[in-house]
Formats: sequence, C-alpha cells, structure tokens
Amino acid sequence: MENRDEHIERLITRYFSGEALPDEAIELEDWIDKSSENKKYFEEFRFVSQNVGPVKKYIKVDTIKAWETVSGKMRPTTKPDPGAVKVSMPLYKRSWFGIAASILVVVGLSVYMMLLKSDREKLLPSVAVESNDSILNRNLSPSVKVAINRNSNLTYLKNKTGKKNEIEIRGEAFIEVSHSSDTTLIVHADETFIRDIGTSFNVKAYPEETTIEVFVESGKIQFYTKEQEGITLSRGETGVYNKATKEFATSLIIDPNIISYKTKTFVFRNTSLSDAVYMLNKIYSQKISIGDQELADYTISVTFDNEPLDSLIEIMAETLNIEAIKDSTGFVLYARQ
Amino acid sequence: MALSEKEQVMELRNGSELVFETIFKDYYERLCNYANTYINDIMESEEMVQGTFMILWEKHEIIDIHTSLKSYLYRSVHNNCINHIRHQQVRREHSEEYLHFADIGYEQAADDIIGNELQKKINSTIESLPPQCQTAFKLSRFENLTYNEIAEKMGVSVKTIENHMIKALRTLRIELKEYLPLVIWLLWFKNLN
Repeated sequence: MENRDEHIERLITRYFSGEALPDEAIELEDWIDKSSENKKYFEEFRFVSQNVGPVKKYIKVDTIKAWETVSGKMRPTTKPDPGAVKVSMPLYKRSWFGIAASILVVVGLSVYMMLLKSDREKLLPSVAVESNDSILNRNLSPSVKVAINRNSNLTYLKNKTGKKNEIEIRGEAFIEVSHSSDTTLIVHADETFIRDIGTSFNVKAYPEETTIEVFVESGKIQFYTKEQEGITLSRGETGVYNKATKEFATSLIIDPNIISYKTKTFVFRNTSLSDAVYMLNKIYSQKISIGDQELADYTISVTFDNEPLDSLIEIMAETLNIEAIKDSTGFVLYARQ
Repeated sequence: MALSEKEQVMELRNGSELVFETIFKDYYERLCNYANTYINDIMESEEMVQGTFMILWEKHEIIDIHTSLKSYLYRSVHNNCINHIRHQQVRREHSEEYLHFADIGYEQAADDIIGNELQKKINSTIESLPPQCQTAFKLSRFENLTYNEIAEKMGVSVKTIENHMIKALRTLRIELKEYLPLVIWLLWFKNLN
C-alpha cells in the first residue's frame, strides 16, 4: 500500500507541478481509470492543487465543439499513392533523420499496398461501435447509415475499393443503404446473412434470443445462411429465422413499433398500459413504472411522434385520467384518487 | 469489438475520418488537461491540442508511429508545451513586471474561489511546512518555476526538490481533507456499491 502510494504520489505531484513526462501522464491516467477509489485519491490532490496558487483548474472542455472546429479545417482525404513522396517542407529543412524516416515510410507503404493487391478481397475493419446504454446514429459511409439500438455492437468492414461492405451485428440496428449501383452490402447477424439490394431494413439479433428478425422498410433483401438459400423479403415484410430449428418464415404482421428506437414514433392501438410502458422503457433512458397494479390493464390508443418523454407522459396521463409523479429516476404512474 | 490501436493507426493512414474522429474524442479532454498542467492557460491548451490533431491529420498518410498512438499524442503535446514555455520565458525575461504580476495572480485566484476558512487553513498549512520545503513549494506554485529552476535557485538537487513537493502536497491533502467537495466523496460511495 505504502509503496504503491509513494510512487503514485510522486506521479501526481509531478503532474500538478507541470513536470509529468508523457509516459508518466499516461501511466497515471491508466491508474486513475482502474478504480473509482483511485480516481477519488487523484481528485483529492486536484482539489488541493487547484486551490493553492494560480488556479490549475480541471478543464471540462467541449470536445464536440472542438471537433467541429478541427473537422472544419481538415483537408479532405486523398488516397495514399505508393509512388509519391509527400514533401510538405523544402527538403533542405529536413534533418537526415526526417529523410531516412520518410524513405522507410514510403517503402513500408509500398510493401503494404503490394500486400493489399495480392489480397484484394480482404476486408478491413473500418469502424466498430458499441452502443452500451444509448441509441446511436452513425454514417458508416456516404451510402450507408445506421441507427444502433441499446446494448448492441456493430462492426463495419470494407475492402480497399469500398465496393464490398460488410456489417456484423450483435443486437439490433436499422440500416439504410442508398442506391448506388456498384456497392454490395452484406450484413452478418449470428449465423445468418442479409444481402441488401438498395434498401432500408431493421435487424434484430440479440444473442440471448431464439430468433433473428429482419424487417424491411423499403426495397428488397435476401435473408439466408451458409447452408440455406433462405427467403427474399420485400417492403413491409418481416423475416424470422429460428435459431433452434434453423427455419425461415415470413410474417406479414407489421409491428408498427419495430423501429421506434430509431424514429421515436410509437403507435399504440388498444395496447395495455403495461405493454406500452415496457416498450417506452426500452427506448427512453428515464424509466417509467406503474405504481398501482390496477392500471396495468388499462388500454391506450395513441400515436406519439418523436415527443420528449415529459410531454409523452403528460399526454398519456391526460388520456387515461391518471397521475404521473416524476422522481429522480423517471416517472411513476398512479390511479387518480 | 473496438479496433485495436494497431488497426486504428492503419486505418488512420488510409485516411479514415471516422477513426480520426474516434481518436480525437477519446483523447481531447485528457490531452487538454495534460497541456494545462504545463502552461496553465485553458484556451492556449485547447488550441495547442487542436493544433496537434491537425498535424496528425495533415500527416496521416506518412505518419510513422513506432510506439503507441497514445504516447505519440502525449509526446507531441509535451513537446509543444516545452516550446510554448520557452517562448514565454523569452518574453518573461523582457518583462520586469512578471514576478509582481504573479503575486497578484495568486491573491486573485485565492479570493476568487476559496472561502475564508479554507484560505486560512491553506495558509497555515503552508506556513507549518519546514522552511526549505516551504520555499520550494512556493517557488513552484506561485512563481511557476520548474523543478530544475528551483533546484538551481536553491542550490540543491532536483531529487530534493521533488521530495519537498511531494511532502508539501501530501501534507495539504491530509490537512484539507475535511474541505473536500461532495463530488469527490461521491466517487468513494460509488466505489462501495
């Protein structure tokens, strides 16, 4: 304990005295990330430091805003050209090390490009997204947009030419592919594949569930496995694959709330309050609960279109003549006395 | 599955803006805070870190990262800080008023955010430190000198200065414990659950 403390104390002191070398700062930050106990210890020193002497306050920077500034200044991507050396500075200003390093890089890049040519079909992971507790919207490429539901992860892979794309999903995501003739996208969900033909569709493939569901909002897709040709699904159709029986089925019953997590649009038709609450809780981060058991069987018919939770609850309470009490975690619904 | 650092570097070389954005968002705040420990100027720190990222993007095709991406970023920021401080020092040497100014800075900063009681406690804790330790600490805190500069000024080794600094901060942390704001305690409770 003392030993660890002494070393960390030294690092912290150096950090707050403006003496921490890069590796020391990294070591310290890794240590802080290890536990909230460590973080607390560090924050105590920060408190002392920023109260003594010219203030070295913790900066809570606005990363998003800064990113906008930086991305606004970014020059557009140019494809690496293995034959050309980019000389951004007159050669005479470069040290011998600089020149030697550049040559190494160029050689390295050329070898790398040659390797790529010999294996053109190899797909490279471009981006991996884990949604954890939020619903995320991302543009994977100019022609592929996704909305990722909670507790899901998605990996986007593409080959060098960008003509062949693959998405791997665990969990649920809504995928929109704009028509572009020479791009094919294959979505990989557990043991099944979905080949798109310029379309938008939803994939639900949570590992703990027994089925994989694909709902086609527009266009056409092929839903298949390595062994089976599977089914073709058109607009409005839902394909269900049973992982146990390995069977595909097409369902024409449309669940209007299947992509609510993306659109925040909910359609309730004689839906019981308990079902409605269950659905809303999957989408909004604040939680709703039913305080009086008798309310569970109330039914509700209403459409919400991208309402904030507060007003949505207000509308529900008005419609059903019930009471909604807000607490620290969300809302509790009670029968009106 | 997140990209490994190696894959990130590879993708960066291929010009992936998404990967660049991820790196930016992961490191921006930490790097700003690291820069600020050196130059103690929030705006300047942000500008410097943004500049570091701009250079990374400008050079993404030829970037040659031998160690880790993380240490590349920290090293770049560190070098920029050192350069910045050198420029400042040149300016400082031309300005007689600097030390006077630093004194005022201390008073103002202290009055700004600290309750009277806490202020008294800080002063008395500093005064209670052994004389050498006190001098080293004051030179670092209120005159912004580096360990090296303090060592030179006091005619002792850098190691000694470092030990003085550790002792001073350790003592302050213990003495000021009861003034810790609630947020820090919350970290502790979170840990217990």
